[in-house]
Amino acid sequence: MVNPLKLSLAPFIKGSLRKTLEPIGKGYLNLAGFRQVGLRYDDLIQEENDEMQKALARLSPREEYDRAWRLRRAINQSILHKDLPKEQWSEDEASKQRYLTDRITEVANEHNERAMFDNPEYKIQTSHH
Amino acid sequence: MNRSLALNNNLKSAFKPSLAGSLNVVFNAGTRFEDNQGVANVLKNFAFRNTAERSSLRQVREAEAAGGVLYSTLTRDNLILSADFLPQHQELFVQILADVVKSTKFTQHEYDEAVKPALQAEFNAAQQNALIQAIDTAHTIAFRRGLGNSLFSASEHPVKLEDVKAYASKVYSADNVAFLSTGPSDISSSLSKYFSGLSSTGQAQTQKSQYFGGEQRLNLPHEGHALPSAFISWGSTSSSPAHTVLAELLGSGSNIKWNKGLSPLAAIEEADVKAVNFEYSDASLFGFAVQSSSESNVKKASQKAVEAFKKIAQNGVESTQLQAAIAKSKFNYTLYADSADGWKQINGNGLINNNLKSLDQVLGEFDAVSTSSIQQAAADLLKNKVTLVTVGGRELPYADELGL
Repeated sequence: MVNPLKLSLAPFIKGSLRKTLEPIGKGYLNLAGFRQVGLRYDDLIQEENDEMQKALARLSPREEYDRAWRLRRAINQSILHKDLPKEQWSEDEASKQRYLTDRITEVANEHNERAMFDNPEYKIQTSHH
Repeated sequence: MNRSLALNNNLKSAFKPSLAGSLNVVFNAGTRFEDNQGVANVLKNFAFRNTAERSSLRQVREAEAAGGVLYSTLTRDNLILSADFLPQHQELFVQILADVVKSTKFTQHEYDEAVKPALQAEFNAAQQNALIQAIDTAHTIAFRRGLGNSLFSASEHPVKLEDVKAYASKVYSADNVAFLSTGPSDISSSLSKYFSGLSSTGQAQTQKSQYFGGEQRLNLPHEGHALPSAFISWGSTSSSPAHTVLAELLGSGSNIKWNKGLSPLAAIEEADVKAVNFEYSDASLFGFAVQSSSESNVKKASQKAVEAFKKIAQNGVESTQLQAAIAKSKFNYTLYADSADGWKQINGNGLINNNLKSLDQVLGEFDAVSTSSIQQAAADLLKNKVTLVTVGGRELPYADELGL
């Protein structure tokens, strides 16, 4: 099932392949241009769907405020046709760029589980692990 | 009846043969053990939510598919997690209960999305019933902190998730639990397999109950069909079987349909008056629940009920009436002990606190109530300050208008 994260090959890229491709990823992050206006990668995910709305509702008040701030600042920079000074670019670390990913996956898993249980052809499992 | 009460691998457990299977996990974790207001109320509603092993949805759907019920109960003394099931699905249900106790995740989003609405719904339902409100408030002013903690306080008071987690890790402990199972065969000895990881952090502690008394006036909820009500009560920290017999003697409701019975309280025409006695591990609250469609009738009926009570304290009772009340007390207790609810409440509390009484012992105590001891018990109760809670407008009685 496709979730708001869309299809991605990222989970399959591991080990030495990951090491080789990482500099290319970093280069892309800088070329894409959103870092320069202070946005994080997960700020760009389309939010007009139920799953994303639910994931956003699970942000802490602080995270929610920061997200709104980043979006407003980015729109302002876009109007001005100017990048932010380098120290205000969004963070380099993957965990900060993908701050929503875990929550989106969690919501998507909940939806998938419900879809599975709504299908009447399931078996009672007395021990499933 | 072949019952077993046993200690298996340090887990206190009891078994009763029956056709359907059930397991009740009883904790000394009722509202009186709360260290932060409302945590027990929240913890009760956190039962059967996401665990490390199963999501909340999975627990519900699997239970439905196997044809069983999962539920949690909160009293002032205990928090009880229960599962009723067909004996062939015992494994699944025992596993679910063990998951809940050992690995509930307590996530913030589940608290916000599922638990808080459940708490609110519980609170709203209680608000619709004037007597539930009156009795809950009466406990609070009668016993204040500890035993007086409200059963619904989580909705009035914001409860932090960390506090709930801390409470859970304190009360979900091996020293604080009793397992009560029913079914075709005794599963007590296999329980340690599922519940082995429980910590031993000691028994939950609470302060000893003390009786205060006082008066409180509440408003009737605007929506719904609640009637003006009053709850007049007297607490005691030395609970005695005489209090239960006293309630039966004055009239706790008729056992015959469409008939009010012959008790003194049934003779009061203005309102519906019932005598009740709430027993707890170290205290009891005896009182009258009065309800009528008119406030002035509640007042008149309350005065008459107090008058009937005072008459017993002053003039005593006839021995034939006493014998009937004792018989009814014994019957009600036996019926309760036999019910699913009574089975877990009585034995759960008795096992954890090591003061379990046999049925014969309790019935013997009822038999020992005499005309003099019941008169003394009534007089002793009346010596205490009254606890009065009214729900409704200004025509309802004040404590000094009861004729005490």
